[in-house]
Amino acid sequence: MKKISEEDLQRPDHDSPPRMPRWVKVSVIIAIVLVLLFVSMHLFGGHGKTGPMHHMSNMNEMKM
Amino acid sequence: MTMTPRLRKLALTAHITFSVGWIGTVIAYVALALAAKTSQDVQMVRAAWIAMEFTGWYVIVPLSLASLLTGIIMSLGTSWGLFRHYWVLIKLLLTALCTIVLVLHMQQVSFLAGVAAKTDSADLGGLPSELFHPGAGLLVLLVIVILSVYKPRGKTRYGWRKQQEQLID
Repeated sequence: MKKISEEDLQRPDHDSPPRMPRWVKVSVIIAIVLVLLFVSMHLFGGHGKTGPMHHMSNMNEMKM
Repeated sequence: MTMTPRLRKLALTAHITFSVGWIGTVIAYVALALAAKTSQDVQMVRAAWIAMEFTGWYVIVPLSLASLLTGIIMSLGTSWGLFRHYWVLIKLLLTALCTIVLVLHMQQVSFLAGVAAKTDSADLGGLPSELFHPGAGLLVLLVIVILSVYKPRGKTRYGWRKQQEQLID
C-alpha cells in the first residue's frame, strides 16, 4: 500500500483544503519560542537592554 | 490582475535592487555600530552615531519601504498572489515587521545620535550598544532571502479556494 506523502496532501485536486505544511508549523513554533524567550528575558532577566520600554526609560534617564 | 512579462521583469528588478540594497546597508550599519561600541576615539564614536542616524533615515528606511511596496506589487501582479502561498504570506509578515520595528527604533537612534553630538567625551561610553537590532534584523532578512529563493511548497486555505474557483471556471 502506498503511503500518503506531504506532497500528496498538498495536491490541489483533493476535495478538502490542504493541511498546513510541516515547515510552516515548525517555523511558527520557533517564532513563538523566540518571542517567549525575548519577553522572559525582559521580564525576569537582567539583560533586558532592548525593546520599546528600554527605549523609553533610556531616553528619560538621559533627559534628566 | 496579472502583469505583462515586461512589466513583471521591471517590477522584479526593482524589488531585488531595493531588497539587496536594504541588506547591504544593514551590514554597513552593523559596522558603524561596532565602531561606536569598540572605538576609543571620541570623534569616531560621535561620527559613527551621526552616520547611523543618517544611514538609517535616508537609506535603510526608504529601502525597506520600497522593498515592501515592490514586494506587494509583485505578489498582486503575478499568479503567486499575496495570501495564496505560505512562503509569500510569511515573507510579507516578516518584511512588514522589520519595517515597523526599524521605523520605531530609528527614533531612539536619532535621540542617541543627538546625545552623542552634545555629550562630553567622558560620558560617551555610557551610550548603549546598537548591535542587537541590526543583528536581529539581518537574521530576519536572511530568512526572507531563503524563503524567496527556495519558495517552499504549501498553499493557504484561501489559495486553495481560489484555485478551486479557477478550475470550476
